[in-house]
Amino acid sequence: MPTLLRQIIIYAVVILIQVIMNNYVNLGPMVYICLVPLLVIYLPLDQKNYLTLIIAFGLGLLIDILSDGVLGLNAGAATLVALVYKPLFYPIFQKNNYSKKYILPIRESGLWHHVLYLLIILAIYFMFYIAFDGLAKTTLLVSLIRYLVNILVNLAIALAIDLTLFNRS
Amino acid sequence: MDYNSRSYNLLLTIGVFVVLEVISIVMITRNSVLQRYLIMNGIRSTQVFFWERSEGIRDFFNLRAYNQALQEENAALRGKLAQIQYLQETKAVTDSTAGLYRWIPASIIKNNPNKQHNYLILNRGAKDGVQTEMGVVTHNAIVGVVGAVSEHYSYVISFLNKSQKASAMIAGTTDFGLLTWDGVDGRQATLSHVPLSSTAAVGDTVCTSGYSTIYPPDIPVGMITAVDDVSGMYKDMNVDLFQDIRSLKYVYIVQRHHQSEIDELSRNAANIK
Repeated sequence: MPTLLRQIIIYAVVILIQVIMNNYVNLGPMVYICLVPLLVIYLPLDQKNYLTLIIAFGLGLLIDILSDGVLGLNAGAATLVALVYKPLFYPIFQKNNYSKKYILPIRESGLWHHVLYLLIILAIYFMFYIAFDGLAKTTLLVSLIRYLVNILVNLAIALAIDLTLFNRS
Repeated sequence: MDYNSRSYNLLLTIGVFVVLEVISIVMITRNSVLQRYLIMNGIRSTQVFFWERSEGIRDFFNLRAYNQALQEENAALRGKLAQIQYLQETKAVTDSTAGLYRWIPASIIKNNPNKQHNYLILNRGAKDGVQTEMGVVTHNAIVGVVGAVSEHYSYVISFLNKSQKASAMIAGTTDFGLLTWDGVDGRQATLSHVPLSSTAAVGDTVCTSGYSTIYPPDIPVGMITAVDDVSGMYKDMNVDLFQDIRSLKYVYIVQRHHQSEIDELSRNAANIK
């Protein structure tokens, strides 16, 4: 199967999983399951940066609309991740002369590099998301707990989906 | 200008990034769920088709809870009926707010109480006389406020939304404050800005005050579980809500009679100032 078609199908499946989880899996008001960061880090590395930003913004906005969220929350967070995912990739994976189209899959990079990378990406993503999702309307402690819980829950889910969908040969 | 130069690409990237972030922040601040509802109005009927079926599955598994809630409501209504009959027989009825409101029964076809910005879709719309700004309640819960109405459906901004506030008072007193959801637990709320002179204690019941025209008075909504003094100015109270909005199926949309007259009076009063 051509790489692009395969990529589009995987993205569609991940978006579907996200919508189903948002609408039908009840983990309480503190937890927001979000697979957009995973979609952003698997955008082609050799693509023009401004295009990557626009695609990430579009993906975030699509999720905002489909999962009944506040318009702009995922879009803004995804755009921020799109800005930093390339500069973060090279030092974390220690690949300065890397020339492949996509980031290294787990089976090649090793689990810990991937966990660290996802952790930082999710931390950046939820920093934007929680800061703009009513930080002023709740206490700092509640926001901090929500931030940490969301990073950990989403790390586990992102790794599971990463292993099952993005790491198939 | 060299359109392939590093600095040009960097400037373009920063420019696009700033524009996209500004667009995001404008969308967020213009919040939002209501905005999306209006944008999505065109495909609403298709969504409703799927919601009704998926909620049907959820309803099946919640039948026991619905039955229990209806039994409790039935019991409460029977109690009120007996009281009214007794008062009528003794000719003691001097004032009642019961006739001040029109009650429109409705069922929930979409309820997403899993987030920070929750809403519900009800199966009653403009055709049934529903208008925006009407309150939605049950016999023991504040459910929300109608935010938008289509011909057959209405969109309700849930009380489980940090931007929502309701005027509530401690039963049996005249002490009132603002009831807001705490954003953490679907059954916890905070009654804030209660006067320091209030003698309310843990275990007291909190009910709607009727001071706003959205919700009728005297609907018991929760019980006080903790009382805190805030800066020696007023009291904040933690409230355990009686009803879990997540398990609701049937609600009432309430409209206060003479609402337009009250609104006009308020406007005139504002002009006098």
